[in-house]
Amino acid sequence: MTRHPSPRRPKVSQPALAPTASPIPKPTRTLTILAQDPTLVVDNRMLTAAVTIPNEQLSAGPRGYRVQVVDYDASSNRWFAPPDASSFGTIEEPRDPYAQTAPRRQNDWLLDDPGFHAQNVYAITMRTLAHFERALGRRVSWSFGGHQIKVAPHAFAEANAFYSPPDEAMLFGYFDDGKGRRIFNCLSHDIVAHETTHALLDGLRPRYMEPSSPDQAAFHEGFSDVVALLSVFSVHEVVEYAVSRVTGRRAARTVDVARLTISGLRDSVLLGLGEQFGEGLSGVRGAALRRSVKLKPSRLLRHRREYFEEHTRGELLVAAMLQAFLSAYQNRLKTLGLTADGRLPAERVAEEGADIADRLLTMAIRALDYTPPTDITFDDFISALLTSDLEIHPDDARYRLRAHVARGFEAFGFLPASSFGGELGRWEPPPDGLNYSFVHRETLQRDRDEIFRFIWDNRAALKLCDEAYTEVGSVRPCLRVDLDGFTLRETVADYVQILTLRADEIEALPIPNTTKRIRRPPGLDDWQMVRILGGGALVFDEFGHLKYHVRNAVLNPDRQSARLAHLAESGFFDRGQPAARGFSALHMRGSGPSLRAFTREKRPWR
Amino acid sequence: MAVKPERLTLRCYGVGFGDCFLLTFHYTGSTGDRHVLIDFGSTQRPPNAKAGLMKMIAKDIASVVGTQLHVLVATHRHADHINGFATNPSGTGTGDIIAKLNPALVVQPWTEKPDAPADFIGTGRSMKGADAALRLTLTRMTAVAAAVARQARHLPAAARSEIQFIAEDGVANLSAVKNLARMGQKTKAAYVRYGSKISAFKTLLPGVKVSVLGPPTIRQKSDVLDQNPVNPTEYWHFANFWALRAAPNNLAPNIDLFPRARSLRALDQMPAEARWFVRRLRAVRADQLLGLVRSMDGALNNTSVILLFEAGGKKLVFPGDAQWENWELALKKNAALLKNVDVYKVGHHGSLNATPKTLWNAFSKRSEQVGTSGRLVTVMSTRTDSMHGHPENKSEVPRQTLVDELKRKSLHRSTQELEPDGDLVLELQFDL
Repeated sequence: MTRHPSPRRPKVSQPALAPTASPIPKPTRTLTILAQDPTLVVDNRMLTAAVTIPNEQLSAGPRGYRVQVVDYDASSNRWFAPPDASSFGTIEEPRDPYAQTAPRRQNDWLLDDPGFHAQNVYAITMRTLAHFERALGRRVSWSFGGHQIKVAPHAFAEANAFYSPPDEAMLFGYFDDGKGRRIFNCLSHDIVAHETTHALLDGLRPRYMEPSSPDQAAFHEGFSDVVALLSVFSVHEVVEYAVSRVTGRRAARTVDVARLTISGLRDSVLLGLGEQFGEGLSGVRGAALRRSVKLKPSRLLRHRREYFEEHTRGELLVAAMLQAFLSAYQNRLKTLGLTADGRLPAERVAEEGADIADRLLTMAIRALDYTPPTDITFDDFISALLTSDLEIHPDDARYRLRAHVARGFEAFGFLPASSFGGELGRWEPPPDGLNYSFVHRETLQRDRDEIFRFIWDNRAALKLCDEAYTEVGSVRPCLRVDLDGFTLRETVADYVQILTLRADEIEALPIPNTTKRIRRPPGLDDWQMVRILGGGALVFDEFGHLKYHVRNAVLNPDRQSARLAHLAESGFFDRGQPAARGFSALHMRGSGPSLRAFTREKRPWR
Repeated sequence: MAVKPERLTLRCYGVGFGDCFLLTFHYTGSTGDRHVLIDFGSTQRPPNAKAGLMKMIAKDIASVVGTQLHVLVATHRHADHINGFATNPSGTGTGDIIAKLNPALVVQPWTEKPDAPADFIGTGRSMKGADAALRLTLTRMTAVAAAVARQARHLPAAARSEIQFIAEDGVANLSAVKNLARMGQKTKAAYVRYGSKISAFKTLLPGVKVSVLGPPTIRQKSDVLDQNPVNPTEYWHFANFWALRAAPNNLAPNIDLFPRARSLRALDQMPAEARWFVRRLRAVRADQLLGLVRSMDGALNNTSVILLFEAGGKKLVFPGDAQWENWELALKKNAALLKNVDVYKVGHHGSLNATPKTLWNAFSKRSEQVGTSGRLVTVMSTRTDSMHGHPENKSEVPRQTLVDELKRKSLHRSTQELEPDGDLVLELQFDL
């Protein structure tokens, strides 16, 4: 990987073909997508945007090095033939088949052409993937063995869209909304970005799908919503549109500073966009996003019963990040130069919004490497955000994102899991005196067995549980390059520890340095097998020394007792593992009724 | 001197996968015999069934009952409980035969009242609004059921037959529904909920106490769940969910999304690199439809009327296809009543979900000792190797685990006993 695509949209429209073609492959290309979805209409035309993604020689589909679009509809049993690969040009002269040389009835043209739908999902997926790889400074694999994720833009006639690990795919439904409109989920930017994030997060942290705690279940949904929202906001055309709603007039060149308070921004910019999100889903997914936007900061919500459910709890994560976005945005606007009549240039207001969204998104993605690989809580995520950002921006005086993020979460009652050395949210460094004498620095950057050797050599110092089964997940060298040019070389690795015990052995498990024990949850038979999970993320600096060991210990009585209690209460031990198509069920529940009436029997037949 | 019945004959008709029970309370003197028919329907005939089975059953019922059927109960609207009530234009349908018996009282769940809302009114913040939402949902579900059965054609074969079987059970049987309404109009119709008291029972079945233990209204359900009170608007979201699925364009199976684009329908014509995934997508769709029909099935099952008859110190409970959500309220509030039940009609043809463990554990007359006097009697109307569910994912109906338990701890009788010789009816006698 040599070059990074620029995050800003180039301000030139599609260049005409030069008479003598350049022989050098371009590192990036642009493809047209719908800026948000078909309901975002300006001057009677659906708002489109040209996004920049990594360049490649595409096959028909489009089918590329990471994504394969297969346009099959399982409800009507129809496979739609994609446009020929030549419509994408060559790597030296890439073409955008749906660029804005639009005919008069552009809306119908795009809506009626399955080739555009396919391009839309392909481009948004690739853009999200590229952002992850840029932020993390390395390649990000899918959770399944293959290299290309399948995408079905019209998978079935259902008001649903989900990531399906066993099918190595993202599936987007379509449906008639009962008012004569056909809604295509594949045309919603936020939905496509949301599902892609599920897939990417699953590739980075596969254990987050294991049931564990209310925070963990909420994290996948909340994090995916955060990426979706910030992805959309980082599209220039979208923020331009949102800001125009503040000014009230499309052609307005300036904005009244007084309207750019946090609540002003929230109510006009964010809520205005929130109205569009998932509008077609009969107010269901859209409702979740709108609710996140509307949530007024309150430290009490996280303790309320209705915020224990995974979707609603995820909204808290989104709300906290949005709060951070708004306050960082507002702060930034304060530093801008006013025009002669004491107002702000609208163009700059939009640009700053897109920029802050992009930076915050990058920060959120980077944090993933600093999260424990099992059992994440929101508090862990805050520490991960702050620590990872500290590493790459030792001095963030310009945007002060860390302060805004910390305050955003604090407004909802979440505090970082640790604050080492007086630095808010910083993870503790590992203990001194680690043994490096049996490992090689170069091998440690790329070999799982070498990493295992290292943690095994230091198992006492790292306080691993000896009896547990330990396995290293992956190890990757990274080169993180900041937008402002700062570079950081690291190596990240993760391992998991699994201890399988019978229920009657749980309370006998000795925990070093304490008399506390892991509490056996009620309702289990003595012979029932229980898995206790732990794990750690390892971050090495460029010299091969361990900088951070972000862990959840197997032998942590409080955490493990809480986890087991939560599992027992949610019936996990009664019905066993959730179906592999867990995301489908999750989304089906979110888009259907979550009826208290349909409660489960407490001790059913096994 | 109070009039009370002395004996009870319970006739369990071998309809196959379905229910049809005729209870006859025998009184001495002028009271004579009093007849109660609970359900009449089937979606899969028994193996070795003779031709014209349902007709023969209807005629047998008529011959036992004579001129006056006293009570007719249609526990819920699933086809396997009511399609025997369907009529035909020439008046020779099985439902016509039953109609001629002039039932004096027709009992159905409150969800079947003829004034079901056709569309939303208001936001339904009240509990009553929630009831309306539920009824609207049930109507929508039947439309979806019909469409789903058609949609399954290109899906993997194994899933297809199960989906179609369950879906077809939920398709509205208009003729039967109309017949039931008509019969009730002619004499008396009772649309019952948990706790309903029907005074007509006193004259129709003297000396027999009849308690209605389900289905609860939404407010009644809410009363059980004191920790998580029901939010009525959730029922409108629920109705919305099914409204969406019932929208005409969403049900059309052969829709062409992009008529101007080139499309293919035969797998072997599609490009090789797409075929693996196309097969996976079909399996995903089958899963979705199965989930959909199962949740519909469950919702309709939970509208079942649960009746408990008390006569001469014996208690008999007939719960239709009620599942946990329907039983919850009765299990909380009528535990004492349910404790010493003598006869339990096994819910939903022996599916695991329809006999909540809590209910089963509450029956105190269970006993492993064969021949114990007063031992619990369980009665099941079902068919061997039904198309409902699969042993593979432990969802077969009847479920072997449950049947083993029923046989172990009760005197278990089943219409499956009729299968080898294709007999018509299983008769049980009780002294009251």
